[in-house]
Amino acid sequence: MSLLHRPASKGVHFKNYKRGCQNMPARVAALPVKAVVAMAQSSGPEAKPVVSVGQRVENGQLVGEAQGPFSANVHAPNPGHVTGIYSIDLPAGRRCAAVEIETGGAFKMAGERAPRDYKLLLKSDILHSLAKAGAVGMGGAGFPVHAKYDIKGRPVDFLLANGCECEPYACADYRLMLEKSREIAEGIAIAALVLEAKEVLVCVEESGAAAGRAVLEALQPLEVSARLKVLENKYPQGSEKTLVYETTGRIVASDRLPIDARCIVSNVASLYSVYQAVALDQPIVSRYVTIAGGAVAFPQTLEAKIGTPLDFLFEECGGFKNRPARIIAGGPMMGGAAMDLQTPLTKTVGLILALSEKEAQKISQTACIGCGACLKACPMSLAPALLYKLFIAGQEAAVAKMGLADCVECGACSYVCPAKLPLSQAFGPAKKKLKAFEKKEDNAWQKK
Amino acid sequence: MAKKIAHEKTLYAAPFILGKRSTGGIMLAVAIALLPAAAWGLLIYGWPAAQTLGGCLAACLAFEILCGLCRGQKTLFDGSALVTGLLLGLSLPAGQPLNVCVYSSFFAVVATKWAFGGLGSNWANPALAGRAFALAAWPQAMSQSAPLNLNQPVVAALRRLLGLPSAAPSGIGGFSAPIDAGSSATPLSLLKLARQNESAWPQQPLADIAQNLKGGSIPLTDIELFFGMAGGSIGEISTALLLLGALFLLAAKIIAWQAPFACLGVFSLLVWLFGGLPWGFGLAGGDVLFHLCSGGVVLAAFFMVTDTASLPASGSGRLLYGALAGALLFAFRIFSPYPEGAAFAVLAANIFSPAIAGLTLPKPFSSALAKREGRRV
Repeated sequence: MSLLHRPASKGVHFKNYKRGCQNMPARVAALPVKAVVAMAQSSGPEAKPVVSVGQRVENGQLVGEAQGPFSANVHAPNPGHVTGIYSIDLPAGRRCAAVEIETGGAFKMAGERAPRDYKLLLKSDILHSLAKAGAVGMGGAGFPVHAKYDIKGRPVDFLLANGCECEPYACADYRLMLEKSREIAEGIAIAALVLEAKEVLVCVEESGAAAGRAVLEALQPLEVSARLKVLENKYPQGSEKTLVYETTGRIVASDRLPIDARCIVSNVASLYSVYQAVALDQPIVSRYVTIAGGAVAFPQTLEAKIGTPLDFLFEECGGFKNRPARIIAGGPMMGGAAMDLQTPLTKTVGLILALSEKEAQKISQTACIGCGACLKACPMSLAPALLYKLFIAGQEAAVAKMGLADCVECGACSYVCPAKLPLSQAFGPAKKKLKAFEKKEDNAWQKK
Repeated sequence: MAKKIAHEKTLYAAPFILGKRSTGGIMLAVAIALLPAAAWGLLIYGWPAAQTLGGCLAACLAFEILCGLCRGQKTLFDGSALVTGLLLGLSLPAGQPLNVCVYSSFFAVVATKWAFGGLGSNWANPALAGRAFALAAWPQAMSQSAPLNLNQPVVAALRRLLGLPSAAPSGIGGFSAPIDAGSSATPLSLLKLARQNESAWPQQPLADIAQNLKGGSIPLTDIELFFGMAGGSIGEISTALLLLGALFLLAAKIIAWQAPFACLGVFSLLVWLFGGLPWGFGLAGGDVLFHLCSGGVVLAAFFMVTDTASLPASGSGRLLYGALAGALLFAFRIFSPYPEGAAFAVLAANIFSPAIAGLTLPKPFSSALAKREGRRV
């Protein structure tokens, strides 16, 4: 039952979200023999290793120290010995250092401590706990939570708890909301406290309405002013800017953040890690992740430790039932291709896919026929085909004027294009070029 | 390099899944939508129509392959040459000599499309441009058509079903056609001739024509026109089958409704208001049904105006463009000396298409906010 039913709006309406495993409870995955803890697990600079090879580490011990306010701490998920510090390639090509820890010895602590009362904490304590625990945005961006919540007195009208899991195959947030609703609710309450948010909006899609209701119920005893927003099933419903617009009607400009519209958007998994960091005073070393795809024998959601290699996770799900054509960390629409099965799990990855040869798309491009499907699909009201043509032709001023800066690289345009043009694939580099171009323009403007 | 996991031709950057629609699929759907009307044209005109249609198809495909070879591309399977060949063939009168087919195919495929950069870069609908070229270069041949065979078994059966009398010897159903039996005139060409040479015509047929145009109960000729028993180009005579194809395309979302409906809407409105004036029936006296069912308006509205490469991409742009095309169709229908101005009318609208597209681009998400704050976007 949707509380907010709208006629077909911009975006992609998938016929089949392929969430066959969403009704299976999450299972705690086994501990890997070797954990490879990547230093780059946030949107900012990578952390610096603070351990050395041969050193004994305990589970939860700091192994990577944040470098600056936009970086995040990284901790060991398993007790053991550091057997190597080397460079690894993360999916989508980011290269960073990693600390390899071979599991061995006793756990310092297993299970959870009794939670502390967050209402007794100062705001600065809360922010400090978040920074210490290395909490980052778990929806994929990895923006450090302590930096996001350090708003320095700016007003916040709405805290949006984003449970709109809009990518196909993804159901980790759904399972998390159903199974850990009490903890997420407490995380929301902590966030609302530190932000002094006037109201909380729990946002879910129609397919996740039951999960949203569970969280809302858990919020009742916590004296937080909260409402449930059930939104239309479409991609990209969970995209930050369109979410703010669809729930509050406020527009977040291309170079601004939601705080400028007096809103804060946090993924439900991030809010769960807020609970872990503040109430339990624990570092973030695990997360719910869905392993799915046509090549996986038994797709399911696992509660896995960061640093677990992908092949271990696939084995936990019964291995491959046919030869995978593409391994993806993240969703099929915005994820990154993994070229190596030894790549480890990081905090920002909530979905791991092994697409079978039938599911993975082959490239067969034709010229743009001007059908306009991309205009209908773009959630930011851009004209992707035209932007693409202009960018290819090197017309950077025109591209800037047409609003490329608004592009969130959701991939909806590429999905609907009958000519199979690499639209959103081009917009990533295009946006970078645009930034450089605009900087040059600004300098020229100021010189005048 | 580490052991290759992935297939060589799969995508390397997100999104890794793509929608089912493809260029070739869209073109194939358009071709399928044209088949009923094509079949009817072949049925009723016989061998001459097969010659013309086949000639155009073959020539278009051949030129597509040739241009592809020159440019080093293999574009045969994107289906655009198939659709161009079909549309061009269907918009020519039956029995055209082979040279008309070949040269207009050349103009359509090579001059309109490939010379400007290939698929998607054509400045006008290629089939339309080819047809206009043929009209301009061979006016005599293009005004002649092979005769209709109204005694063909299927056609005769349909006539009986509709309660129509068995076929007149040659010509256009309800009209008596004082033209030599070698070529059959279309209702429109007859009308134009009648207006130009009023003295040369006996009063009776003109009065009949006027009577049939006036309206009241649907005149005999309108039913014949709608079901494709009156003269015209191979594909444009059967409005009924064209509408069937158009319905299929609309339901499958291959074409957008804005352009054809705006086109037909504006055309009908203008014809209704002003179409009766040349015959002295005053305002709001035009015979909309007659004008809609003759002269390839339905073919133009659903298959030419909707050619996506020459169409603005946004919904509002398509409405505007459709309206312009409808108005031009009306103007050419009533005021031009050519019997069929549809080709030139839509061509003229094509030329305005980029300007309309530029005016109706969607407004980016944050430009509204930027305007409010007075910032540079």
